[in-house]
Amino acid sequence: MTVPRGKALFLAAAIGIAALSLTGGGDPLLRILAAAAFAAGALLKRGTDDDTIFTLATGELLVIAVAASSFIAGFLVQCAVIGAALSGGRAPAGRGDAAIFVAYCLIALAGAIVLDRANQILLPFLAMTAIVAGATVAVTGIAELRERRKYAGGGT
Amino acid sequence: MEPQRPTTAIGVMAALLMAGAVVLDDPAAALAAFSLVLFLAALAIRFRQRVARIAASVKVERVTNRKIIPQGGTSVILTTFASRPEPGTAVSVREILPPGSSAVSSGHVMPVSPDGSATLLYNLTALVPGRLGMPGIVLTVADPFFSADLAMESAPFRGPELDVHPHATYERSRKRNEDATRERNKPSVSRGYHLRSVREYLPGDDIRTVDWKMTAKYQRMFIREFTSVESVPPLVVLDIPGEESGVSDEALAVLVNGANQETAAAIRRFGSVSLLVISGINVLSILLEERNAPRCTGAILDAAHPQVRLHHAYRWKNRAALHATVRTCRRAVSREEGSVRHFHARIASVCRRSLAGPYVPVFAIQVASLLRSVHLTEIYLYSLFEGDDSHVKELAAQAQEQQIRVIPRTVAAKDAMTPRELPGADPVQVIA
Repeated sequence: MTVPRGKALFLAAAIGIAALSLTGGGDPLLRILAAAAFAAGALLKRGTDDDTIFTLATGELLVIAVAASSFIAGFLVQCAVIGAALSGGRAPAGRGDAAIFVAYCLIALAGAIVLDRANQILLPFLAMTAIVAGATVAVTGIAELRERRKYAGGGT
Repeated sequence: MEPQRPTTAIGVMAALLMAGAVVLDDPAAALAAFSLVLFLAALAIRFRQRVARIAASVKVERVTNRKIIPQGGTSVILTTFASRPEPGTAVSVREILPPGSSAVSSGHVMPVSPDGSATLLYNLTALVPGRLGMPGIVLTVADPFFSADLAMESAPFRGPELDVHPHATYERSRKRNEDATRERNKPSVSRGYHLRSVREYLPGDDIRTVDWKMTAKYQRMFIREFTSVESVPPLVVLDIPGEESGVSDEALAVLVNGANQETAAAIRRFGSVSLLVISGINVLSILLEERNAPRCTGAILDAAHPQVRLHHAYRWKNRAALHATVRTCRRAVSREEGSVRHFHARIASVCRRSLAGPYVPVFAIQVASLLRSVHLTEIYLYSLFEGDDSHVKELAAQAQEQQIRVIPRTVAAKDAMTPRELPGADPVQVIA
């Protein structure tokens, strides 16, 4: 069983960050179990699109477990989990994927800082989620509309 | 843009975490839910960029074997698709069929190979008459998270147009002699849908072609005349060798078989064929616009043996060739000295004497009459080119005058001299 190098690096980074967070207090057993589940979920099955689902599902458990003790560590684990999901597909990750990953990390960092510093959780979380979803729908919708218009019949 | 199974699963995860964050007021669950939503957004934007890049690199070339087909007829469409492949995406291409048509085979849908190319080959059946333009293609792009269809119908991806003529509409035979013109009294078998002219009604015209709008406007009956698909069948000429030539039975069999196959193919393609069987300047058989293949085969087989030639051409030259010889000899006379000069002067004298007489061989008249009576664009000439081939040259010369293409064919012979050039004709093709 060969694991893509990028995915192995992100996997090691996530587990390393989780191990470092053990010194920060909280329930260490939960983090150890979550890290083991993430390692198993990321390595257990290979070759299908279910890899991504297992990697993300087990990775989010680790994120929640780590973020409960240290929010910044949780954010870093989240970035590593997403990196593992992006680089673990059937196709090799290109430069475009790297740019998207960097943009993702920056926006996620901003969101994590907002969630960490806010007095309440619900309102900023819902606002950020709505903004991201709305912006995505607008950007992809406009792009799709432009393509359909560009290639529609009747043009020259 | 349609989500795939992993995308749905990630969405469900995000929704569950979102619910957990709201219920438990847990920032860790909120971070996880927000991260997943953000991840989906990144995937969606990446997918749209990939689709845009693939669509921008698409090149489509489409060719058809027939541009004009009858209603219900079939045309073979060959579409070549090329694009720049994107890693991690699966692309397939589908032809948009024009309205009023159907694809006989399923070759109009094809996955694109990893190098970004695809070839679509299918039969298109036209169900309604008119102009049938190929509208374009539908590009389907899929990655593990999303899939999308993009209809590409702009100019580079459209065309060509097929001209579909309606079913044969039988018209009544009629005869007209007016305005110092004469029209051939031949029933028109089929008519197209293109309008050639509008003219006043004449007794015998088909009432279905009356142009009622013009009739109402001018208070006189007007009818529409339509153009029609023209079929110009070829003339197959089979030149049987003389008895004295001593050609082998195998060579004659190959020649006869070739001519027979040509007539059968012409009947299949054009509906009829004209056949001329000769042996030197002796005409053995003529069939004009014959639709019955067995009759052509019978005429060919009846003559398929070395013939006793009653008349000979004796390497006869037609008047144009004689004029050319006189000109050549005149130049040689002014240039040469001694016996060579005397030889050319003698040849020129003989040719001039021949030109002075009004003699035109019957064969030349027969060929001229045949070429005038049938509308031709191609003549397939099957001959062994043994011995005197002046009759073949005469045929080629007359065809050249009438701008008819002559395609000579012969049999590969070991000991015989095969002419590589027949004046006014294509290069001689050798049949196996």
